[in-house]
Amino acid sequence: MGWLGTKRNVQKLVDAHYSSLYRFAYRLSGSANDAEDLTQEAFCQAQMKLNQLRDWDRARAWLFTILRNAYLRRLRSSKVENAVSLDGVGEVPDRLPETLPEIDPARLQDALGELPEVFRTPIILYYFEDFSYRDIAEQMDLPLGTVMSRLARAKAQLRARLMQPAEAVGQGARRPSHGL
Amino acid sequence: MDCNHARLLLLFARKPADLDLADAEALGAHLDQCPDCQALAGAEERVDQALGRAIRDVAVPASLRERLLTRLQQERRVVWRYRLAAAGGLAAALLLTAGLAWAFWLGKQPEVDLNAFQDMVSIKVAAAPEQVEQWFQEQGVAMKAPTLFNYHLLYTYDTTHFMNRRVAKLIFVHRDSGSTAAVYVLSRTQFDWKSEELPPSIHTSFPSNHTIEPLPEDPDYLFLAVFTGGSLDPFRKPDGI
Repeated sequence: MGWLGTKRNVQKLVDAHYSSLYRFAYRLSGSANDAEDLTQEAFCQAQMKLNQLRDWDRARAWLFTILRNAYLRRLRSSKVENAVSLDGVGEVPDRLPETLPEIDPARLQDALGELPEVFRTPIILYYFEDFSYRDIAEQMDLPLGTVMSRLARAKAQLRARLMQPAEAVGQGARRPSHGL
Repeated sequence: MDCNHARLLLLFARKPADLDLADAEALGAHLDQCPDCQALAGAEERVDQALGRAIRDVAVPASLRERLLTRLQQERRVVWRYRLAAAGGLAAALLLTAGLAWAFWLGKQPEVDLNAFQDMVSIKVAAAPEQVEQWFQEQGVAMKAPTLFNYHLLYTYDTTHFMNRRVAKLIFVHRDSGSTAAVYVLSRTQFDWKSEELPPSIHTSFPSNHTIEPLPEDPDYLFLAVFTGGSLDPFRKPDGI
């Protein structure tokens, strides 16, 4: 068991990162309740392990890693599979994108929820918190090439889903479970 | 760099930080002179921006921060309670272990060592009066070694209790006659007496005789001798010693 972080340091950590951590958790889980639980769990763990944080500039990446691990633990214990298998995620398109129509938040979350976690996490990090490929590779402990490949495929899948007419979504795709 | 290479780079690495410096420069140079790829890159960037905005658009509950801080405070209390309980348990276990070790140590009796016994006895046999006095001084018992006795006959000495006071006791043995004398030395610092009231002579009774006399060399001490045989004379110092 590590030493508890001081109250002031913990509060500093919360003030600086709670919003982005909650948004990340929401996009991962697709549920406000799960997002709040995950955010609380991540900060509780961070409070217990604060002495492990050597570089405060790395606090954000550290917290995101803690939250992702907490999410993966829940995912494993709930034994709920994502709606789309790894093979179901589209290949990199030949043609680069057209302009997206207005993005409906519910459809966006559904489309994210359909992605397996190994695709969902990098794309959320990439868009949401502006992590570079190298940051994501480091955080997910993956080779850079794997991250680039997954991101390209995840983007293609996401765009394809968002470009589909609304009625096609209802007919062709399963509603995603958000993993929890 | 041709268009295929440029589009591949646009697909996989759209942030400058994700490209090697050489690739980033080559891509920039290609986009500057290729309107098709430039349009494609622009479209890609717009899609990225739109997706980024949409993904970031998550409403954060207004009181989330307070709830988080409250929960963290509760966790801190739980952890401290747990740690205090654990520390208490550890301290109790240590005390118990120390107690058991102490009890074991106390309960363990030394084996009889005959050599130690012989040492203890032999060091006292025929000890000089000065040695005797020093030994009792170390035991905290005030005494004067009566000089009228023959210390060549001294067998042993130790402290004993008389009227709830620790006093010196010397044992003399006369080897030829086989008689013994136990001599108790009493100090005025522990007892009170009037010299004129002391019995004047040896009292005889079975199985031993006894006498009580002030020390000639120091009236603040007296000795009480209990002896076998008819007289204390065999134990007295012969003239000239």
